[in-house]
Amino acid sequence: MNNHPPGSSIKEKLGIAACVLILVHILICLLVIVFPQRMVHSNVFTSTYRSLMVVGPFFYESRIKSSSHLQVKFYSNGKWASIGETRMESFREYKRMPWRYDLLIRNDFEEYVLHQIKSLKNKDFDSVKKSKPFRELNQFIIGQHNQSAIDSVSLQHYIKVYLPESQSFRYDTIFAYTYSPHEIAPAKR
Amino acid sequence: MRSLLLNVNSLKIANYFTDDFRQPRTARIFFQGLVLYTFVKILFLWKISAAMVQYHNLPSPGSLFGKILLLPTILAERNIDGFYAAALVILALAFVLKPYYIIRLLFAYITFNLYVINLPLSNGSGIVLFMLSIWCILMGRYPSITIKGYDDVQKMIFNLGLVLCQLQIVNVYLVSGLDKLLSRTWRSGEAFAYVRHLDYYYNPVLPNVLDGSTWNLILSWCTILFELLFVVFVWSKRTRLPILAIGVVFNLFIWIVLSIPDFALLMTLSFVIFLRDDDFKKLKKRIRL
Repeated sequence: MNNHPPGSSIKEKLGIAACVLILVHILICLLVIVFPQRMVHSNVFTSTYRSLMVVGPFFYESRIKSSSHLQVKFYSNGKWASIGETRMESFREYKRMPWRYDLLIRNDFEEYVLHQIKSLKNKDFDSVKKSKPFRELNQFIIGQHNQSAIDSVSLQHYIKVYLPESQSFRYDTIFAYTYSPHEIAPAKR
Repeated sequence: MRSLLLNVNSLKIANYFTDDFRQPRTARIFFQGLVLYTFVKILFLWKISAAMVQYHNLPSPGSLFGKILLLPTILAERNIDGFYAAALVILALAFVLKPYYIIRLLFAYITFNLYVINLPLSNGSGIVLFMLSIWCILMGRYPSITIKGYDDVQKMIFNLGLVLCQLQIVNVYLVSGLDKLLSRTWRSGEAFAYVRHLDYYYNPVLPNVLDGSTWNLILSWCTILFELLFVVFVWSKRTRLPILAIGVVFNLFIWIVLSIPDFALLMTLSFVIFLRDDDFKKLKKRIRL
């Protein structure tokens, strides 16, 4: 005697199919977490799975150990003027006005471009100043300060690393460039 | 006996995925939360994103598939204000309309392009939002299928979307918890000493909290334990609500002390998908009392 209503076997099969799908998904997720990342990223499928289905970690070790800084100076009317660190200023403002989330977003762009410049293989300035991220950074800085009569710009990018043993800091300069902004091609025409 | 047990189990499995739409109210509120979050995020992003596009080239795909996928991005390159205005209109519709598949597909399309356009401004919340929006497509219900037998397929897809959405969140905590557990810096509590000196993240609203090494050790292990226990406790009836409540406090800490409001808000919002329709009824009753 069959107690199941008509069509229930299809229903069951569908349910089991969904269950199998979920189990396979969990298994692949665990594999891409546990397996060495070099191996995972060597295959398109596992690499995509790792990037999309298993997002993170975000607060990984290297990210919390140091912070990246950019010191800006402008030379105009025969003298250097220190603009300082705009990111620091934005963050200070955000702490005063925590609803101004936009101040944090502005900082992210600078961080992104600095990271791109840091990753450039050819560190020679003639090559760097032609690169897309440097042109973007130049245009971003000039645009942010709305200064047109600048003769020279001085940029110093450094990494500030905290040393817990001595409770002090180490400063590593990544690049220091002084250049005329007029000789840098626009990032976007 | 064995065949009877197998039969019961297979029936249970079938029931879970195909009997009914599981937690439809929760799924709807969750989707509306994501839509509202995206709406507010666009309002904050708009001005900065528009300024960025003046000197930052957006991706321009060569293939036809890429062009279709990134059509809003291509349009944003030409007229960023037009893109954001259109996105807000679609989001407003997505918030008020019934769970139509098409509107959820559009939502995922927007979140993907929003992620691509604002990649330089992204901190991880963009990709999480996009993945959640993908699973939300499966949790659509309209047009509803009325043909007998095929409605089970629709229910199965809906419930599959719900579970995949939950697993997406669980994975974030699993990978994060494991990473911390394997890191000496996190295990020793030193991580919080580093965090305290992150110039662009640390907000000293709670003075002296991250000052001592004992406090740092406690906070470090609380973080590791929460992230790993979340993976297990969120599925159990008795521990589900307490772990979600701890999660809200955890994300509040990320928001305030670590100054990552958008990520913290999205993760808090994502907890809604672990609630049940009954929870909302109970909450309503409590508010009335």
